[in-house]
Amino acid sequence: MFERAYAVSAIGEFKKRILDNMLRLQSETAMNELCVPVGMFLVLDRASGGNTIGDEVIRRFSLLDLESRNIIDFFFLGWGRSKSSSLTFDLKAFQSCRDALHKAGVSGFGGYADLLLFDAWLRHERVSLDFENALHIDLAESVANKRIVSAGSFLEGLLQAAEEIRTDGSLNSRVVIRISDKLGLATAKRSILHFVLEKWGKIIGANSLVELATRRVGPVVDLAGL
Amino acid sequence: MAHTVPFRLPRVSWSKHGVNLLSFRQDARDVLGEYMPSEGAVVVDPLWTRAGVPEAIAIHEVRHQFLYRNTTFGLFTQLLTFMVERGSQSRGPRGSLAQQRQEALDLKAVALELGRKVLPKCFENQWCVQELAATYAEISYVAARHPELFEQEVRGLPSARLDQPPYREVFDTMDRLLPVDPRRPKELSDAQAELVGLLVAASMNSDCLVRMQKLPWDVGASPKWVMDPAKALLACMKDPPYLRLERIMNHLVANGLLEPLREEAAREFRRSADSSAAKNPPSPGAAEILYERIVTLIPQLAIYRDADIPEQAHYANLAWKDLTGVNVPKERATEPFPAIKESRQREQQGLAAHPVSELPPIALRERLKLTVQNTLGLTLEFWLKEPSQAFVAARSYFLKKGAAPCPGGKEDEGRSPLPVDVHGLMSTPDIFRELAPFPALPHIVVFGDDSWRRWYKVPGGRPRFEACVQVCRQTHLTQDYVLYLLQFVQEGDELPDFIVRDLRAGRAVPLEALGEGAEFFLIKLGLNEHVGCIFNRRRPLVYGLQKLPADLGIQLFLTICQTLGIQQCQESRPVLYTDLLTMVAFDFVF
Repeated sequence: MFERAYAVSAIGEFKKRILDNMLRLQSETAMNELCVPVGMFLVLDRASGGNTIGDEVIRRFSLLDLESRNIIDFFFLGWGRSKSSSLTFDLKAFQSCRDALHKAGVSGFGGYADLLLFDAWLRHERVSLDFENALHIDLAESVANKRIVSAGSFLEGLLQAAEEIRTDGSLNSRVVIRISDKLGLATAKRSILHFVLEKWGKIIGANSLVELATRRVGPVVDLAGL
Repeated sequence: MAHTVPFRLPRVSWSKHGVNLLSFRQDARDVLGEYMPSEGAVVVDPLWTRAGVPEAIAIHEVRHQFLYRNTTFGLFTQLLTFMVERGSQSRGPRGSLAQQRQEALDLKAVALELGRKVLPKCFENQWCVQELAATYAEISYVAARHPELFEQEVRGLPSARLDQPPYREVFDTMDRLLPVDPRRPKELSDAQAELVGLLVAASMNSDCLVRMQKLPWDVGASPKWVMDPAKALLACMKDPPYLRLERIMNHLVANGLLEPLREEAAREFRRSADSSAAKNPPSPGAAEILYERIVTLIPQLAIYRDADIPEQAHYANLAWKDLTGVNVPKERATEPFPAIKESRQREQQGLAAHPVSELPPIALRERLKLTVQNTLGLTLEFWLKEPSQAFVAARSYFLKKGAAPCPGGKEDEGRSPLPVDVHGLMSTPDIFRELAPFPALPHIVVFGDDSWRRWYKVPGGRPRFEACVQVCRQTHLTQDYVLYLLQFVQEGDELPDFIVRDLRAGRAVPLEALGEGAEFFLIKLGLNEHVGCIFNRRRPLVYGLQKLPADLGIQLFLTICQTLGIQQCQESRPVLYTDLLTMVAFDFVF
């Protein structure tokens, strides 16, 4: 009943989904402070100037939904489900999301298909998105420069990393980590992105490791202010 | 103790949360619904707001209305609101004219002070419990009847974490103790929502009115107020509803009483439903039994019963009248139905997109001439705010050959295109002057909402259109508006004042008698768009059209028609002008 990969048609809906998920996780885990990984795709469709990399990412929407289950929330900004359940792109909604991110100090869109991966925190009754230590990958540019073989295989590595986190029994002893059967992955008081990247790095190999370096793509943003 | 986390509601601040008790807002949407004491519970046109479950919005607003009109704190709020709104217009009860003027000035100053200091506090004190009862009832309704939308509706609640009013937080506070579960049978969800409503009613049935009667004010004394009025009224709220609900819930939880109470609620509401189905003689209702149980389970808290409230309200009103010289309107009655109204945002957008301009008389004249020359049909639509001026819209249509004023059918599709509509503001004398050479026109006159009442005040207005088809098309749906529509259809006279007065005061009016001879039928225009048509075969040229958005609109209309004694039209007795009415209805909705 609870969707995991969200097609988001406006920034307000994105905010509500992030908040809702964290409140439910909090209720289920009884953790006062928690952190979850969030993946945000900025992908244009062909009619709006997108390319084959974007097509490939969108084709993987359902797969990401299925395979990343309980580990990472993926959001496709500007994409929504039509009544027939197919994905449709709304350039105006996409632009409004980009504007909101830009206003919050998060900029730098490659133009075709980008992935932002960052931590979302719930603490002191507020939700914040940590763009200070985030992963920003321009998938089109990375493929063009041969740093990654293809967007598909690269994302496949991410899904494998998610699966390994799910099945890694030792994680729980190393960090306070919860994998909810229904809702997802959360850590208390520590960044979760670190664990995802560690696993992912081992899967994709040395050539692509540079892609997984976190950097500042913006400030820590209070969700309400986005 | 079963739950270690105490029941604690968020603390709302008028300025911080932009809290508005009377409206239920959601991000990036128009207002979905609101409760205004003067208008009752309102659901904004769900076709416009795209509300997933309009019935749930209605339930939310009706819950506010109930608490506002049937609890001591609700009545206290009414008195306070009334004082703030009317204080400046009041006159003192006795003394010379000069004294009365001075007293009026004093009261105005007091009203300003109360509006600034006391009324916001009054709303803050009840915001959480009001919204808890209303939102819990709304979400429970969705969970029981549209489980697939349950999570979406919860997710859509505004939240303090997003710097919005804390609907989500108040809902979660109760949901932790009495979870709303979409897998639970409907009857159990309903019973639990009723129980929450009763717990909130208990929190709002405080001693505020008793405290008010005992205030040390002396109307004969000078100064009139023995103590500062703002302080005095703030003192009446020393036991605020949000703290009372916390005490009630924490007591029930700490003593293991909540679960047995929930089970009793399920049992009692089931018994009540069975008894009602079996048509057994009336016995104490489930709500009465449960409320009494709540009162007895928490003896340390003064919780007033329904039977106590009229007397308290009476004496509080008397104290107020002595002080202000103004009668407080009686508002204890419960409106039978919510209203569905057009979105103000939509109206504003419409006006911005199509600003109203003057319609030169020659434009109407040319349209009338063209209508005769080309043997077309003509609809004139009127909107009046005052009898001297009208917004006029002239719309042409193809006439059915030899069957004016009925519209033509598909055979007209090949004909030359119809002229575009002309519309704008005109003075009523200009309208009469232009219409004078064309006594057979228009074929159809359409009055927007209650514009007909003002048109009838124009000398010669009513007889001018007696030969053509007359339609009143109404946008807002309430019992009062349908009553006016019925009046248009029945006699075309205004409702007698005593009926309006009695309706507003909630007194019994033989409503069903008003619908004598009237019938209704529904016109389907789209998947979710219907129009209700009221008519009386005695007046075959007169029809009332009511916009009915979504299923909620249809259900309300059917219920109101039943209340007013309007019979459903029998298929065996066809209605004249069905095609014509469908054409007008279509223009109306789209």
